[in-house]
Amino acid sequence: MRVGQIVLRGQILTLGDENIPPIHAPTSGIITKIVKKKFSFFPNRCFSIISIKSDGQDKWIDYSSKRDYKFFSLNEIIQLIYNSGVVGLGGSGFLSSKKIERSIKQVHTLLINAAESEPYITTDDCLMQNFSKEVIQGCKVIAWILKIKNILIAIGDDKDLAYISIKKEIQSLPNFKIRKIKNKYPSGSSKQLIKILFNKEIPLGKHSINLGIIIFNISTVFSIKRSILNREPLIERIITLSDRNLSYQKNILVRIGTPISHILSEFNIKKCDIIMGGPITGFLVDDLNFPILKTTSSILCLKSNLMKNILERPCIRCTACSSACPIRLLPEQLYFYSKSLNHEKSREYHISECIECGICEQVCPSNIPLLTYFKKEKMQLRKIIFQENMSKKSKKLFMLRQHRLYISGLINENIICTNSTVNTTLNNAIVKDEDSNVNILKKSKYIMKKELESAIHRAKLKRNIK
Amino acid sequence: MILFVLYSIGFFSVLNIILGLTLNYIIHKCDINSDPIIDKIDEILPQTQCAQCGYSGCYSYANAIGNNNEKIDKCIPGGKEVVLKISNLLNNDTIKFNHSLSSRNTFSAIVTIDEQNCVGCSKCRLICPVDAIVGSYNFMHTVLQDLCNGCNLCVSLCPTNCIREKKIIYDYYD
Repeated sequence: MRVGQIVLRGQILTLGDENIPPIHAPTSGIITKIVKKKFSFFPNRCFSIISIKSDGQDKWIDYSSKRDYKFFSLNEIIQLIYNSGVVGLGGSGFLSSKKIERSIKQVHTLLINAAESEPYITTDDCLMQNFSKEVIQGCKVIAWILKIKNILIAIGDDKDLAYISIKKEIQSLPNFKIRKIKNKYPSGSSKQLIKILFNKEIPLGKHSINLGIIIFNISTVFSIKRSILNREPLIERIITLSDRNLSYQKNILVRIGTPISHILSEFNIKKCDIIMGGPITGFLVDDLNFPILKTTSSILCLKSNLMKNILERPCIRCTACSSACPIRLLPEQLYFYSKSLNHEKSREYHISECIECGICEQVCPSNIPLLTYFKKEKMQLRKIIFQENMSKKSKKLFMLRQHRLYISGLINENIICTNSTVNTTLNNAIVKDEDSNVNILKKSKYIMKKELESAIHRAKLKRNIK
Repeated sequence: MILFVLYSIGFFSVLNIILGLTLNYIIHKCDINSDPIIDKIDEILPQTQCAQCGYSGCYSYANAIGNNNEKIDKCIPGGKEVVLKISNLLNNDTIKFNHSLSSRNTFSAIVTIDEQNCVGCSKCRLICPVDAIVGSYNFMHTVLQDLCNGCNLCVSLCPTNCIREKKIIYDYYD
């Protein structure tokens, strides 16, 4: 992409990699600038922002083939989902294509999560009332891909209109079932949902796929249907715009990438603090030019100065947080460990199992922002694990090099013994090793081959210039 | 009485011979050459092989700590955490921190070569400890970015100053 290029609606702007899906243009127009920027509420990430000036025509890019989805092979359909940029819209942002790929031949139940993840949000309700037919079609598509027979839809018990409209659609279908669950706050998260519906707990460090259940948020199902049947990439989603007193509340269909200030000016909202995400786990936005992301499910407008006057006081060990925690962790203990940077202990007390629901923070009598501490600690732990993996990898490569030099006769055996750990027994250990290390080596070989080819190409070009 | 003493002496000497043979056999089967404490220190060190401690690699530095009483605060990319871990391992309470130590994260950096100006001296290729640089004599060299660990050994060696350090930001998600 470069400045001045003309793009159409649905055109791919950036190519993705293993963990990041491609991003599509929300409307047609001209690219005016590409900037790199850091925001204060996302301290560790650097965003590169592409701004498009719309030409008002909203032209679609044309899609050549309109084959029926049942003629696709399995790999093609997963590639199609990946190319249309579908991620988990419930808030996780995990790639849906990867989730489907991992759960092939392992699952027997498809669970559709239509219980709202947080209070004040009504996007799922709105989606079910207006697009119930398309949602059911999406369920059928996923069930066809994975060859699943049981499909279960879980709805919060206060949504009667949505319940009726879904019930009408599935009357003639025997595989579908619908269940009402109690509308209590963290029941929207996947772990809690499985515990309520099936009375099973996901074991530590494992995923719901290990139990044979695959969970999708209902808006993800909707966008998967759109991507396969209509060949539309994911460029718009429903978000909830609400006030704290619920004096106005609207569900709006927004293109992804719309700045927040544009939405506010459309609805004549002035002078307020904006919270992105739900009221409990959301974060305060300083810069109103920040766009709507794929994982944003709601925008909460508060009167200004409501968020101030909160002082953090010392912990008194009242253990209100530990009794409130839905997955039975010990937040107060984890708080002390994460404050004193005791990474090993906090790993021992399973901080990685925390689902970041924020109940402990709401319950706390001395207003400690526990969630921010835990998020920071998780970040640190990820960094440490990454460094450990890197050091293992570089040690492996170093040993391979020493081995190569020893075989070609450039290094004496005496130097090897003092300099590095290569000797005959360790050389065997390089070959026979765990699966992960073999994978790393395989992957690095593949990357080496690719980069080598491109380097040889560039070298040839350089020769020709001379 | 004398017979009893002789019997017991004979019994224990036979037992000794059997035990000695089994011990010899075990040592012959699993040979223990390296000192385990050196391997443990080597695991703690960050394995960048950057030679900033004054030794040729991480293993030789670990060897020097184990055998020659070398100071433990010389590893610059490891920083304070490595010093604390080694002192925990060696039960050494009297640590003095080297004030120039600040835990600089080597793994967030990558080296790139300006390929237009490379003359093909192949000095960088020969010193790279992880084989991340490829190329041949009198040809262009390039860095395989996925393998580079950011040790910066090659930066000072390049005669045309075309190797640069580049910082990258990782999102630590898996």
